Amino acid sequence: MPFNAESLTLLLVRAAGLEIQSLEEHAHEFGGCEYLLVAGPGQGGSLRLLFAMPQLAGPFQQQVLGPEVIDSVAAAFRGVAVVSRQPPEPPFHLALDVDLHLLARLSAPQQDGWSRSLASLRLLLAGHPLRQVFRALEAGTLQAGPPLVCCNTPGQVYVIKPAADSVALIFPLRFRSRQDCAIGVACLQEFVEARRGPSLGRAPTCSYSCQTREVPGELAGLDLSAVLGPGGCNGGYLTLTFTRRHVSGPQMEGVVWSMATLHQFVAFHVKATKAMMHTRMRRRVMAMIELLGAGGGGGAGAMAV
Amino acid sequence: MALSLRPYTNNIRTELNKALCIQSFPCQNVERHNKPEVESRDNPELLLPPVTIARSEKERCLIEPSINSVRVSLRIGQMDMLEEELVKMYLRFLMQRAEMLEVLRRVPVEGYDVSFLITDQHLLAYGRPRLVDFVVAFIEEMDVEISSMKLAVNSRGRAVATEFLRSLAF
Repeated sequence: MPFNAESLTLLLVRAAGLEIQSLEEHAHEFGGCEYLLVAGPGQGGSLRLLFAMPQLAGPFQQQVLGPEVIDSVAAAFRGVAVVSRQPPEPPFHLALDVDLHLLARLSAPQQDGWSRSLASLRLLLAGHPLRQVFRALEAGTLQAGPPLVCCNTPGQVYVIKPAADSVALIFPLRFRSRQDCAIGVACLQEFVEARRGPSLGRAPTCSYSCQTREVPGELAGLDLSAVLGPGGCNGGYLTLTFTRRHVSGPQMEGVVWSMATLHQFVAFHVKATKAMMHTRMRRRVMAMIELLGAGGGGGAGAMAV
Repeated sequence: MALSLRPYTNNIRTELNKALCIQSFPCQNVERHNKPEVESRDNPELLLPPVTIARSEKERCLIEPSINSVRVSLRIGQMDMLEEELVKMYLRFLMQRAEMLEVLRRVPVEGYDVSFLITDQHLLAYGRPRLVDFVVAFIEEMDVEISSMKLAVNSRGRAVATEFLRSLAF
């Protein structure tokens, strides 16, 4: 049964209160990420948390797993966990040694908080470039600069374009099939329409370009053909512009998570839309069978859909 | 039903009523075989001239009669990429379940989106009025269904986008 962050948190909280003889639990998350919890009698009261994510191209791998990122992870968990000196065995990229004895001495809310942070290790790694830019924007030290191409999902990239008082995130979207592309484009166009709604005046500015000819101005001079692959960008470009108030305070982590996983969010909703269509179509098939042969003719309607 | 569809479906109804004057006719080449002549096309004398009824450049109906079977092929009008893909998805779903809709052909005729094959056995089982009504109702409801699917996609997209942006509104 697949775990999610909630389950991993629960496991860590429970582990903090128990004497563990041996433990090995795998947890898989969307986007090909994997967590592994290992504990054994020889580990001296610590729990080893290993993390794996899909392999990215060289420069992008450095963006999410480089030395600077590892240092920030170590700083975030100082006192509760340390980045393991022993390199993790493949396919894992990062290993943390969690001090269970310390966790056990904390209060329940503190245990829950730290466990949630450990279960959000992916957010620390994948969202690192975004977090750096948002922190600079919050502090007022952000300066206009060239666009930065980032990637935490193989085959999908996003671009960070900093300005003096805002940050534009441009998401070139690729879909696997023409069907996904048609549904995805229809959904993405609704982002712009929804933003015009009266209740979303404080949301980040949103724009969408549906044709490859209409490349957003923020990407002027930037060639993404090498990173997007042969299919190019068939889903258009979604641009979200954040100002200081969007990233100030505790909501920054939520914004980082939303932006770092936007590609998976769109893919999930395209798939859910297709499932909704299939449900409707099943009902229509039954209605058509009744239309044709209610009480008449051979085996019409005998088989279940 | 849209009034603009009425002349189109009336013409199809008229032509279908004429074409569905079919009877059982054994195969002339193989003993004890009874094949739909419109599919096998072994004997040109058993085939009648096909009739095409076109509502527009993109939307038309081809009726191919023969002595013991009629093939009706439909090309559904599509305005944009989303409609094209919804039509493809819907018709592929239907054609995979062709055994449930006995008159539906698993593979459409080239150049068309969906095809029906009506034989003399179907005529005996369902009767001509029911078959004609079914084909006409299929065309009418196809329009309605594609429009409502498109609306459902857009509505769902709007709801998702609203919730997503609301989570970012500070």
